[in-house]
Amino acid sequence: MIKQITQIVSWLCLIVLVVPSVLFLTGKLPSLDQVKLIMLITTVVWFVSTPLWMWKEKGQ
Amino acid sequence: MIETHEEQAQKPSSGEFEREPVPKSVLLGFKSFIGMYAGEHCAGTELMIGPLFVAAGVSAFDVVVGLLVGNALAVVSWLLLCAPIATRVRLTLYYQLEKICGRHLVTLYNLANGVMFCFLAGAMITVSATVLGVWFNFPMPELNDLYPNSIGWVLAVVAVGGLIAIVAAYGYQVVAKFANIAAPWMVLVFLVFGLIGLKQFIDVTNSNITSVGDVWKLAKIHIWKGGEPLPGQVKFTFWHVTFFAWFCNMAMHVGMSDLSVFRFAKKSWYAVASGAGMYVGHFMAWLSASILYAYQLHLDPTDTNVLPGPLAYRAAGLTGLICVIIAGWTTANPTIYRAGLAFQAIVPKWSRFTVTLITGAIATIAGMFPAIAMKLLGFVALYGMLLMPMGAVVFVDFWLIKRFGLQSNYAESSKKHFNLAAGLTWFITLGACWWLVWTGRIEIYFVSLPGWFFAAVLYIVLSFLYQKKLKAN
Repeated sequence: MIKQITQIVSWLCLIVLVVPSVLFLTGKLPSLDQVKLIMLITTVVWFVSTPLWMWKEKGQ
Repeated sequence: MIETHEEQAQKPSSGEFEREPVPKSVLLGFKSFIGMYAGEHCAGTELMIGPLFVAAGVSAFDVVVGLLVGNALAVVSWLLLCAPIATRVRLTLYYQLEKICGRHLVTLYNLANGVMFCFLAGAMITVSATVLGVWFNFPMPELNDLYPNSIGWVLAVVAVGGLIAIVAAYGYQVVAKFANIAAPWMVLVFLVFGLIGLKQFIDVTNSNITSVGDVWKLAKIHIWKGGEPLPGQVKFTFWHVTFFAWFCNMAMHVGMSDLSVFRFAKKSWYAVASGAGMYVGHFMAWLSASILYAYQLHLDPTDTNVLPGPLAYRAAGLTGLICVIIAGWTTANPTIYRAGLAFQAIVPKWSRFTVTLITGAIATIAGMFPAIAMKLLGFVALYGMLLMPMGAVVFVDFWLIKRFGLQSNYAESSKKHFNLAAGLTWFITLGACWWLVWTGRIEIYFVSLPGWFFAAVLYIVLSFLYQKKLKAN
């Protein structure tokens, strides 16, 4: 169950990583600083959540 | 770029299959190769190559269509040259070469390969070290610098290179696992570089974008403008881009290094998976990185420095910097490890730890010299050229040599440690290619194509003479 949750979080991270820059490109998110902040938070979450399932999986 | 997927596929062979065909029970599916290639070809050096295209004065058509065609040719080379042999013999390149060339010649090959890996890892360390410049603000190398230009730069390279070398010596497997985790994130950060760079161009040029045609117009007029290259750079045309994209991994496909990878493939057509690496890393990532550099030049045409750290920071802030560090680190790590493996074959009594540390130290010293990173386009072409003749030897030995009534795997069957026909093919081909480049008859980016055919014919002729002479004796 925890593995599934962390997997979902990881996939969401990948989406959230790209969406702000797409919104920035289309002009719907005007501030580049906001994009950078969201990306940084997403990066931290990715590197916390992904090893929880991928590290073990790769090690098996 | 010149990357590390071989290492991943070699992992299962670290204790097994190094001197025997890979058994059916451990063969890998198609998906394994897609992930492997997509992740491995998004390396730190992509952040150098994209900008260097801009510095070389590419036009939008030349870079976009050239990359589409060149990458397709690279995939075809994996598909038609490398994978069919790999899935038939299922041996590592090194063992296959040993059977053909003999142990002593393979040792020379290992030495050449190891040295090139060291320089390549040095370029990756250079890329990562540019991140420290953002924080500590020391003078960093400029586009045409060949030597280290500040104490701060040397210390930054020592810090980054030393760390990478120590980690590679202690915990290669840990970094390899970490690289797997970082790969999907890193690919998307490269994409984000491009999206943000594009928006910055739209804003700074006040372009009104309502269609794909408008984006293409922006690309042609402002991003990849063509014209003269920056001072000290070679002008890149459509053909330069095509051949560069095709041959930048020449050692892997035409040079047959990836025999070690595809020996694990159930079918030879799995080599189309290399397309994932080509079009993610060598198309999207190169174009994204080049947009960032073109934007820098647009803002200040005198700022010609190709520094991945500041470029990434301007576009994506701290995430960009983390990406540069990880991209450089996770690819330098296995490259140093592979160089260590190549050297250890020469000095087997030395421990893996010692060899990896020494290799890392050499790569770190190489990384201090920006010449390798700043001249990466030429270096990569040289790397492919150096190992290409042995790929021709493997190809001819497998497919053609028996048709001429000659013996394949000659070193093994004749118990020779040095197949003179293969050795001379390598040296004479390199000499001929070098002469063509040196005298200005052909540029280094193109010379490997005629070089391969020359090596193939030469190996047949020399084998005919060599095998006949030995039989007579």
